[in-house]
Amino acid sequence: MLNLCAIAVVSTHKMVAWLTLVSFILASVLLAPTTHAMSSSSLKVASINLCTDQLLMELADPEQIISISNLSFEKSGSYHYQQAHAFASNEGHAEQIFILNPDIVLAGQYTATHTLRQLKELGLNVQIVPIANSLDSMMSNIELVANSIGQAERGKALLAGIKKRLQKIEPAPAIQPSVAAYDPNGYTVGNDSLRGELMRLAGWKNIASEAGIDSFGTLDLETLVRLAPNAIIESPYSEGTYSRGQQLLQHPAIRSAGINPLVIRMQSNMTICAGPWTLDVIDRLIDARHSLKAPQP
Amino acid sequence: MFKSPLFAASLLYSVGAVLVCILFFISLSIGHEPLDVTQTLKAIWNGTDSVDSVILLQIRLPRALIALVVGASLGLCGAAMQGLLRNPLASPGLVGSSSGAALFAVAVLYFGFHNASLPILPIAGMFGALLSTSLVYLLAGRDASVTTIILAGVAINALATAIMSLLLNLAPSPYAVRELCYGHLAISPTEAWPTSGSCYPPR
Repeated sequence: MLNLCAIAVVSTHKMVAWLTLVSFILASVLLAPTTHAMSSSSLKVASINLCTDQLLMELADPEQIISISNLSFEKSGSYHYQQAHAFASNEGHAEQIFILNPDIVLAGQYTATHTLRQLKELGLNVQIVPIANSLDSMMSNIELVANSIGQAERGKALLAGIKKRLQKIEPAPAIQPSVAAYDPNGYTVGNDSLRGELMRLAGWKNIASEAGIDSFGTLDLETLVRLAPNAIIESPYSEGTYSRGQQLLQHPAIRSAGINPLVIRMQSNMTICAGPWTLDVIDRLIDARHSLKAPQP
Repeated sequence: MFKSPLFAASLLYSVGAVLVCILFFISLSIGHEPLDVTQTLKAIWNGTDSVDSVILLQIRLPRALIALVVGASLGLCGAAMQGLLRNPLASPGLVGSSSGAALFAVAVLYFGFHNASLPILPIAGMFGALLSTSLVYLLAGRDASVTTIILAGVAINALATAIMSLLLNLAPSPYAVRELCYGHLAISPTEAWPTSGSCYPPR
């Protein structure tokens, strides 16, 4: 009797085991095609740079992402800050990344060199993504990230969409209103920068070039008043904080008669990193140009 | 050498006044953009509005006037301190009043307590100066010698400066530390009529 009972117990255990196995096989057979279609890559990726985080979230399958930088959780810099909450974060320390054992580590051009060296010495595959200073470099970055994380197809699709949108941009008007990017402490961008290119594509004339600034520089308040742009692009990275550098834009001289430019406010998380959202920046700049009552030459 | 002390004093004051006027004019002509000050002043006198007049009236004149008023107040405070401490080297920086004022101004400005409708910034500065000076007197004790007061002042001064540096490092603005490095007391182009109107004597 006892023996029988034992056999019965064993057999039910066996049956449960068999059932589980069968259901697993069934489930994997049933689910395999769909998961396969969704995830074309099983490469596990960790990213330690805000901008590579953004491209990673744009291109990878969620299950591919094992860690992103803690900066991506902040609305001020991260375009995909809401999406970021689904992922684990890192502070960009080599040991944090090493313990995760990722297949690829995405890092920025200006990530601390000793971290990068350490990661490489530990045998990790580190992919450095350069800063995007133009739409072309933005697109090559998308391609680079897509290829390195095994999502080449998705990258191609994204790039095709971007190119289509770029072709649809309306041609610049004959008389282009003038604009200046004006950040705290008077920092501005020239034509040889991503934001400069966006301004040009949106049909604005960047006055920074008149002040002799090609890529990056500072525009003195007096120069800004002298050049009197029709609009100023503000992209406050740290809204709700205070310093003298940030008060510069409140200077009453900018609001004087004959100057008083339109202030175009752009979320900083759209301008810090380059990605597909960069095209929305162009659209907003075009809308702002249309909203100018009478563009002056 | 001089016939009377009165003559010496009037000579000193008139030379000083002429110097201040010259420096004030030089200050007006210094700026990023080239600008003919006399031409612009003529244009303003004739009522013509131009970019030059905006630069001169809205950017350079406030800056020069602030330098003038702040310099005069510092000179006055220095004279008072020198009389009080009977020491020709005494200055408001010595008894901690200027660093106390700077500390409270920094606390108000960088943590967003300033308000456009209320002159909280200068009031906080005055309160800070008063507080640190009182602390110096408290620390020095009653019937303190001049040396004790000066030493207490140096201590309070160092403390206030240290707290100010700490506050600027803790300030939420990413630009605060840079401004700490560049000097808290420098006059920047941010200064303009509305924010600093209260640094002038009441009208």
